[in-house]
Amino acid sequence: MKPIAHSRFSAGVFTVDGRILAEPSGAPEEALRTAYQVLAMDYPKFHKMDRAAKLAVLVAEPVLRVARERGADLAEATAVLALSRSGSGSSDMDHWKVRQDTGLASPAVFVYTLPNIGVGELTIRHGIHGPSLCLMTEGPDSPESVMAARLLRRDPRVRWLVCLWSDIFAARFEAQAVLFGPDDDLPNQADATTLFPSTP
Amino acid sequence: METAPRDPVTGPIVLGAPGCVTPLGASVEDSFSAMHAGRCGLRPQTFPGTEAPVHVGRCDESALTGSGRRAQRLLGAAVRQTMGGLSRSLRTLPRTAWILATTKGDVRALEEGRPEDAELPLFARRTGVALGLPGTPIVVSNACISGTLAVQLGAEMIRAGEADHVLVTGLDEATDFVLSGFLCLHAIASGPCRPFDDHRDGISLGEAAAAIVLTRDTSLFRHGPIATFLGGGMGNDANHISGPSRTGEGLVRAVQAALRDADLSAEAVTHVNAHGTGSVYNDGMEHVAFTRLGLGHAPVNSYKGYFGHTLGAAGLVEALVAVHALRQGLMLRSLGASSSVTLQGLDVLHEHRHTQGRTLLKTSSGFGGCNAAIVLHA
Repeated sequence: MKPIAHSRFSAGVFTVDGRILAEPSGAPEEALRTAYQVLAMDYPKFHKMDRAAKLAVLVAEPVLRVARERGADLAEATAVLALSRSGSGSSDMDHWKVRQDTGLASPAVFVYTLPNIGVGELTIRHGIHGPSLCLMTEGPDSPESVMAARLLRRDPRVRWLVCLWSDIFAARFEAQAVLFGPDDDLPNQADATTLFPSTP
Repeated sequence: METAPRDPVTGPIVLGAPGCVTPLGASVEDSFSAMHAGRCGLRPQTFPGTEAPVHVGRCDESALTGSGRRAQRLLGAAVRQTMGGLSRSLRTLPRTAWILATTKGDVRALEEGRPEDAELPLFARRTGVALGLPGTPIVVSNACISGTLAVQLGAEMIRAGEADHVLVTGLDEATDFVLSGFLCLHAIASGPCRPFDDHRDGISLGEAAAAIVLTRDTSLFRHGPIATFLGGGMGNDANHISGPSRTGEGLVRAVQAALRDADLSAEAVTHVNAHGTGSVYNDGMEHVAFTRLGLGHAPVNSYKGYFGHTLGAAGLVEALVAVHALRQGLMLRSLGASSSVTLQGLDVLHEHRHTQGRTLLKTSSGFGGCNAAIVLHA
């Protein structure tokens, strides 16, 4: 099983199909900013997102560019599977801190306190109307993630599938994205546990 | 030598052994009876930072069972009802999966200063151990469509041969965390919410837990199945993270996909239990989407006027009550809706109505622009 494209973003390195795209250092916020610049995204809405949504959008950007180059119908024939452990944990903490400190809450923070909002931002950026599923898993490698990917591909509308692992909490972050096309097989064996290549 | 009864591998996927706890009762039957009697489970409460009382649907503490965290006891109360409706223990059945649909799980742990305990995978694993549930939990957290999507996922798992039986559960509590957020968005209704009413002005929050088993093996249910799963679909607005598409793009696609999956036309739908939050924009979006879909003939309601928006549990608990109502030959009125002139073309249920129809379309929509629909035969 080899996806069409694979990106990986963690502290200090952003790779696309194993090639180093950037080596953003520093705190997560700085690394996210650097990656955005390297990807030359020119997407002002990015700056309003929380950290989790930024991470999801950034790591998916290279594989979705490949999908466009390959002629994928992103609007109607593409599905998104999103996996995370911490989900919206960072914004959850921020929302609760505002609540405790001021007795009020911030709309700009609260709207990001759901784990699927990063997927929502992704669908908006790329105009994806097809199905998406957000699962909370212990890690990127889990039997349920492989199964969920297979299930999404059973939808007759779906020809392209983006699978995303993105996790950020405090100073720790890591993310991966893979693209499967119409002709790609997903792992079929019942005990398959990963969608993501082991290459760095 | 005796052999164990062989589970059927073909035949329709059915739902059975429903369990739920809502602000109106500690079972589907009790909740339905209260709703049929016209009771509203939303109660005014004061909330720091607001002058007017806020209406919230909270479950009776006496309905919660077992020990552990409140969220676990809430879910446990629903799951125990489901276990009691089975002829065999799920724990001993092979190829059995468990799905938890929730937006915030035990977010009270974060409120109490233990954010690590609020992580959904950890909460689900601990809850599974506490309740003796089978296997590794599959945690669906897709905003307010989680419950509806979990039913669809469970059915797909059986169709694809990934599991033979799936316990689908939904849970969310009405917490300060969530309530303060919706208040800051100015999304909370001035009184009990009024879905599909011309003068609706916002949502009311509620809490609930629900459970159901999906399988092809009808012998698993002590009292038989309550519904057949016919199809499911999902779609994204790709428009805005906290506001619905004005044209209902994602909901239209979700319903179209569900009907295609069920091999049904829109005309075959006899009742729509909608998301119906009571917000101006959500209900307006549903009006546009249902009109585009040619669903004007199907009487539509929302249950959120009875017990509020129960977030990740909403799709599941509302589907269970709607199925129960249809099995009584009834469609319940959309509590809070007295006039729906501005929703021209929709047959909003202003009174309970008798029906012979059994084909239910259940829809949900959520933040992030996600939408889900399932079709059930009650």
